Amino acid sequence: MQHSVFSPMGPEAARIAELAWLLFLGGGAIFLLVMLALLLALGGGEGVRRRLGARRAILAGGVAFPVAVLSALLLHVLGVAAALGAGGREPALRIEVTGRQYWWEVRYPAQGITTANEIRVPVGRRIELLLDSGDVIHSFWVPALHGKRDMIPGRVTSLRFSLDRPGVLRGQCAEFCGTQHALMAMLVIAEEESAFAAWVARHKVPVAAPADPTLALGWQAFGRAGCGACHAIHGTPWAGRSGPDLTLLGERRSLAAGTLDNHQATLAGWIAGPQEIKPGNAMPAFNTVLDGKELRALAAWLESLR
Amino acid sequence: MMRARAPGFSAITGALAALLVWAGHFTLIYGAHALACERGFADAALLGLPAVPALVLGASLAALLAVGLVGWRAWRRLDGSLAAEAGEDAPRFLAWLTLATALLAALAILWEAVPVLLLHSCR
Ligand code: HEC
Ligand SMILES: [Cu+2]
Repeated sequence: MQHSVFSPMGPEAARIAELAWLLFLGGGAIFLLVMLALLLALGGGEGVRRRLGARRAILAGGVAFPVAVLSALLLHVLGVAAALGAGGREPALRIEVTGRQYWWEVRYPAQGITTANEIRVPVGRRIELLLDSGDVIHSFWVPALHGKRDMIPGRVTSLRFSLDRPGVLRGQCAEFCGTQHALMAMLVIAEEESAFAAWVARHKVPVAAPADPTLALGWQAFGRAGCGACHAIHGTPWAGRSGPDLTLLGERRSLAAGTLDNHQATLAGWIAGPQEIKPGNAMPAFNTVLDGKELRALAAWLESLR
Repeated sequence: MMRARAPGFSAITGALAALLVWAGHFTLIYGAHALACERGFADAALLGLPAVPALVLGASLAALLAVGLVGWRAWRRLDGSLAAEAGEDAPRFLAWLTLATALLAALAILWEAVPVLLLHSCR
């Protein structure tokens, strides 16, 4: 899993990483020069010290040099920023991401798909994320992908990028947004075009009531407990929007925005006690609503959504 | 009179003048730019030129001119009249200070204006 600025997965991140190296190495070199000058000023011979203290040396090292270096850096950084911002070609794929306390809603308008906490993208295609927020200010940051971008209520910001190769990139909310800000992560999954198309196709298959008795009990429990008021599952009557869409939940790698690994046991634990796991999140606990059998069946059914 | 030898109010505003021009320039271009983006004038044209960059460039040229004038007057004071007044430290120091702040302000104005040439407004 990639989550470092220093292992860029696409051209945009690569340019940012280059810039970071330039700043680190350049800053380090200048620091060494200054320390050398300091050593000479403290312990050098009479002649060296006089030359270091001359007005001309001070104007050259203290004024002309910083002005030249900072001006050059400014031009270079603006060049990089211009290249990163340049739209040029129309993006091939638009994805809308809405930050919410404390998870990410992800919509593919052209494909008619809504999902959460995982953004699947095909490699090699030009992608545009349209970012906004449903509550407070969040910040979208996938270090191996691009720089940070604020998600601001009532305003749409955008991030354009492409990815060179398949991989899983970890991202994190980068603007304090409440008590569970630290547990607001997400994954970007880059895969080959064919795998992406297959995922889209699987997503569009309506979920039907299961035949297996255990899974059917899970399906009923979902309805009885009222999960559908907040959660949507494609093809079912449940179309709540205040929680993550659960279609294909069984394929997701993590639960609750990177908080837990995703399997039956963590699913049951989450449904029974989300407030113990992620205190203050918007999902109520169901340990008193569902009995153990229903809980296990519900977890089994949700895991089977794949 | 004691006050006759003190630099006086105008000398101090003289030393500050360039920085005040910079502050004004900064406020104007930030304000105008934000307003243009917010009100949807980002792509408006002024006499055939893109309005926002034209405005920023115009304001920057005017500010540079003003700062240049301040610096030039300080330079002249350093060069000529003050040479005669040997022993008078305060005016000489103030002239140097004015010149230095003028250079600083010019640099700051330049640095603030460059992005408009390289980046698209409002993005
Ligand atoms: C009041 C609205 C609400 C109800 C009712 C509700 N949930 Fe949730 N649920 C949420 C929210 C909000 C989240 C996201 C929490 C977070 O990560 O901050 C969530 C997260 C989840 C997740 C993790 C999804 C993911 O993308 O990682 C699962 C699974 C889940 N809920 C299942 C259920 C089940 C099963 C029920 C019924 C027993 C239920 N929820 C009832 C609001 C609700
Ligand atoms: Cu957040």
